[in-house]
Amino acid sequence: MRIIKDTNINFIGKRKIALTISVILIVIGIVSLIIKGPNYGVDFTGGTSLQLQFEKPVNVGEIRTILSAIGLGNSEIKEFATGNELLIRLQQQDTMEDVSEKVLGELTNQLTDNKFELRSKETVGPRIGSELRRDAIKAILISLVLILLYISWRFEFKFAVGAVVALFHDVLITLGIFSLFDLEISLAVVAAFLTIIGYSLNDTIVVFDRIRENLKVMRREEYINIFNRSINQTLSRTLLTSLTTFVVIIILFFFGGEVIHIFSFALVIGIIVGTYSSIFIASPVVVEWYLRSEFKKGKSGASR
Amino acid sequence: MERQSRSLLYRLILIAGLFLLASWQLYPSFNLSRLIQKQEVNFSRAQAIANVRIKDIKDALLEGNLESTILKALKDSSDDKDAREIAKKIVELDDKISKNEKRAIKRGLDLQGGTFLVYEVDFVHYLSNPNVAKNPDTQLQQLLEEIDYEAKHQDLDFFDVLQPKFEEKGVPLTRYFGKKGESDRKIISNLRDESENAIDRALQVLRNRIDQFGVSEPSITKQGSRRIVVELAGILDVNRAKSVIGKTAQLEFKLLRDAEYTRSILMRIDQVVKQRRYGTLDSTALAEVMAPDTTKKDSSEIEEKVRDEKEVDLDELFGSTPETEDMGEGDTSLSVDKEMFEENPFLAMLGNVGNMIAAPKQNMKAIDIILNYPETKEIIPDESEFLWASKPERYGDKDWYRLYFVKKTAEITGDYIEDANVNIAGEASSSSMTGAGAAEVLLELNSRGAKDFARITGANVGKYLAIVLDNKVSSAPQIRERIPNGRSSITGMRDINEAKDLVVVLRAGALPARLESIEERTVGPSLGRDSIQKGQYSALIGLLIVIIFMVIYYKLSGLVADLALVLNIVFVMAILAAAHATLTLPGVAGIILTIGMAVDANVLIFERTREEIRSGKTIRVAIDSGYGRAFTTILDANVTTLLTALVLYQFGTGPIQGFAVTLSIGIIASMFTAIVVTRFVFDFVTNRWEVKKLSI
Repeated sequence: MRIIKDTNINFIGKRKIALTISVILIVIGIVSLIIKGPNYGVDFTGGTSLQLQFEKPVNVGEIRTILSAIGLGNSEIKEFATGNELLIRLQQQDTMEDVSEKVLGELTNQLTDNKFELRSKETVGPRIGSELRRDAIKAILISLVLILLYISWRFEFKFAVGAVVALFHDVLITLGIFSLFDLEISLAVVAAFLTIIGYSLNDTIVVFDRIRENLKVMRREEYINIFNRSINQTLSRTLLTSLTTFVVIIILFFFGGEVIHIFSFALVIGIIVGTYSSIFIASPVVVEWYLRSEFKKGKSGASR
Repeated sequence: MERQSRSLLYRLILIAGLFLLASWQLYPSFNLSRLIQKQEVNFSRAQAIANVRIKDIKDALLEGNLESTILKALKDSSDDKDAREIAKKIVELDDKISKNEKRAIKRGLDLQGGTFLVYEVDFVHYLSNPNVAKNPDTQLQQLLEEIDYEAKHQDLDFFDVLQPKFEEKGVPLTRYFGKKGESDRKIISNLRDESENAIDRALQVLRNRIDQFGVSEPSITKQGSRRIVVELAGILDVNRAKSVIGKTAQLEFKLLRDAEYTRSILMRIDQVVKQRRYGTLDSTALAEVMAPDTTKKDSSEIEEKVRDEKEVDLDELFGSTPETEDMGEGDTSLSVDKEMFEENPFLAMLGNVGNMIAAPKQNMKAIDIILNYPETKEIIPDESEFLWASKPERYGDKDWYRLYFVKKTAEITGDYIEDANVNIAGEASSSSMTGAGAAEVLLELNSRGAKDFARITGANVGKYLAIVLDNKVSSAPQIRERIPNGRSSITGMRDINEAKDLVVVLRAGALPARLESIEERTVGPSLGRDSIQKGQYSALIGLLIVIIFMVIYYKLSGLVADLALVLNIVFVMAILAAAHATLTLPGVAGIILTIGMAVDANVLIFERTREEIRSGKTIRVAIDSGYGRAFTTILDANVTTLLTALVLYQFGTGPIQGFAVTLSIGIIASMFTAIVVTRFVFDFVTNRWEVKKLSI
C-alpha cells in the first residue's frame, strides 16, 4: 500500500505563506504570554496542590465557600471530567504551617455525607519553584546548544541554524497555545517540550539528510528544486511516522488518565507543529541562506 | 554463500541469546504478580483461621513475629497446627517475593503510591548552635540569616558567601569560629567539612528513625550540598512519617529564670511596645512599673479572676505595618485585658495559667513579633530567652500557651539519653488513652548524664527545670530534691502514638541541625493503581494499532517490523529490570512514545527500499542499499533525540528522569531491533528462497 505516490509539491515556494502563518501564531502566543503570562503550576510557583476524589459528585461552589471560611478563598479549584474529582491549588503561604492539613480537616468536617480520598498532594517551597523554573529554561537552552553543535558537525552550520529556528518555533507555538488556553505548565509539560524538541528534530534531520545527499548528486540543479525534491522524497516517511506517533499519543491523551493528560496534550500539539516546521520552517531557512550567500557571491559561487 | 550462512547463524545466535537473556531478566517481574496473588490468598486464610486483621498480619511480617502473633490471636481456641502451617507458608512466600522484588522492575512512587520529601539543612540554626560557634549571640544570628538569604536567592554556596559577608561587616570570623589566629580559609574549610559531616550524620539519624518506623525499602539520599531527599514507598500515614522525620529532636533541660526577674524584663518590654504605640517614652510610667509591683503580686489571684477581655485588631496595636500584613488574612484580632491595654499594651496580651505566664493562641504571633523588635532584643540578655510551651491548655473558651523565660545554655542535652520508653500514666482508666497527659515518655540518662543531672538538680532544688524539645517547652516541673538515678519523663503527649513517635526519635538521636521541608509529593495508592492500569491500557491499544497499520501498509515486511517492535519493548523492559531502574508514570509514557517512534527506523528503511526497487534494482541490492542509505539518517536522527533525553535526565527529578531513561533505552533498543533484527529476517529469507517480489 502507498498513500503518498511520487509527489512534486512546491513546498519551498510556499515558504512566504508558511512564514506568515507561523509568525501570526507566534505573535498571538507571545501577546497572550505577555498579557496573561504562562499559567505555571505549583512546581514553578510554589504552593500546594491537592487532588481529591469524592464518593459523590461535588459542587465547586460549596468547596469554595468552605475554603473562604478559613481564609483561603483565593485558591484555585478545578473539576475533573469525572465529576467527583477535584484539584485544589493553594497559594504559597508565608507561614511554615501546613495549610493543606487545615483544608483537609475542614473539608472532612463540613462534608460529612460525602467522604473523600486524598489522591495526591504536592507541596513545593517558593524557592524550589523559581529554582525549577530556572533549571527548566536552562535545560531547554542547553539542549538547543547541543543540537546546534551536533548538526553543525554532521551537516553544516546553516542546517544547524535552520533546525534550531524550527525548534524555537515549535516551543514558542506550543507555549503560546498553553498560555492561550490557560493550561498549567508543570515539570511534566517541560519534559514534553523537550520531547517535542527531540521529535521535531528527528523529522527535520531526515529531511536534511536527504538534502545533503541530493546536494551531492544533483549538482547542477537549483537549490530550490533540490530542497523541494528532498522534502517530497521523504514526505511519505514523514507523514507515516508522524501518524504512528500521533496515534499512540492521542490514545495516551484520551486513556492515559488525568495525571498524564496535559503532558500528552503538549505532545499532540508538538507533533503537529513539529511535523509542519520540519517541512515549512527548517528547510526554507537553509534555502534562504543558500540563496542569499549565492547572491552575494554574484551567482558564480554555486559551490558549496 | 558459505560465508553468508555463517554470518546468518552468528546473527541468529546473537538475537536468540539476547532474547533469552531478556526473558530471564523479565521473569521475576512477571512472577512477582503471581506470587503476590498467592500471598493474598494465604493472608485471607490466616485471617480466617486466627481472626487477625490483614494489616496486623503484614505488620507482624515486617517485625518478624508472625507466628507468635497468629498463635496469640488464636488463644488456643482452635487447631494451632493449621495456624503454624499457614504462618510458615506466609513467611516462606514472603521470602520468595522479596527475592523476586530485588530483581523485578521497580515501580516509582507515582505508580505504587508513596511520598517524596526534600529537606534542606538549616545552616543558620546549625552554625549558631553553641556546639559549633563560640558564644553565639544575636549579631551572629543576624549575620547568618543575611548570608542564608543571599545564598538562597542568588543560588550561591552558603560558605562562599560566609567569609566575604563577615569581612564586609567588619566581624572577624575568629570571633565565632575556629581558633585564635587561624586563617579565614582554614576556618571556612573546617566549617565546610563539619557541615558535610553533620549532613552525613543527619542521613544516618533519618535512616535509624525510618527503620524503626517500619517502611520497606526507604531511600534516603543527599542532594547537592545541603539537601536530603527521602522517598517512602507505599506509606499510608504520611503526616505521621513526616513528623518523625522532620523533628530535630533536640532535647534540652534548661533552668527557668526566677519569677521576679522575668517580670521586670516583661515590664521593660511593655514600655517598648507602649513607646512604639505613642511615639514617646513616658518616663514616669516606666518608673512606676519598674517599682516593685504591689497591685497584682498574687498570681493565683489573677488566675481565678475572670479576665475582662476585649478583642482588638492587630492594626490597633501595631498600626498598619508590614509585619501585620505578613500575618495573612484571618486571625488578625488579639485578645487583651481591657483595663490594661491602654497603659500596658504588652502585658495586656498576656495572662496567667497556674503560676506561669501564658498567652491565648491568637496573641502568639504578635508576641513573637514584639520579642523580635531590635529594642526588645537589647532588653533580653543574651544568656536568656523566651520559649513557648509545646501544647496549649484550655482555660475559659481559649487555648493558652505558657511563655517561659529560661537560661539559654542547656544544663543537659539529649545526647546523654540511654533509653526512652512509653509509659501510660494512670492505666486505671483505659479510655483515657487519648486524653491529654495520659501517655508519657520515660527517659533514662547514661551514667555521665545521670551524674550531671544529679549535680544540677542537687544545686537547684526549688527551682524549675524546663524540658525543652526542639525549642518548645514540654513541661517545667519544680525540682523538689536531688535526682540521683538520671530518670526523668516528658509529659503532655496528645496520645499514645505521639509518645511512641517521640520514643522513636529520641532513641535514634537528635538531628545535628534543623531540617526545613521544602518539597513534598505524595501519591495515594489508588491513584498509583489507576495510573498503572491506564498506562497499560494505552500502551496495549497503541501497540495494536501500530502493528495493524504496519501490516496493512508494508504487508509481510510490516510484519517483520512488528516483530522488531515487540522485541524492542521486551528489550526495554529487560534493560529496566536488569538496571533495577524505577519505572515511573512518565516512564510509561516514554515507552508508549517509543512504540510510536520505534517503527520510524523501519519506515525509513522500507521507504528507501521501495525507492530502490522502483528504480529497477534487484531485491537483494534494493534491500542492501535501503538499509545502507537509511542508516546514517537513522543514526543522526536518533543521536539528536538522545541528546535531548540526556539533558532531560540531567535537569529532571525522579519521575522526569524516569521518562528520559525509558526514552533513551527505547531509542537505543530500537536501533538494534529495527536494523539488526529485521535485516536478519530479510537476509535469512532471501538467502533461503529465490524471492522474486518483495512483499513491501
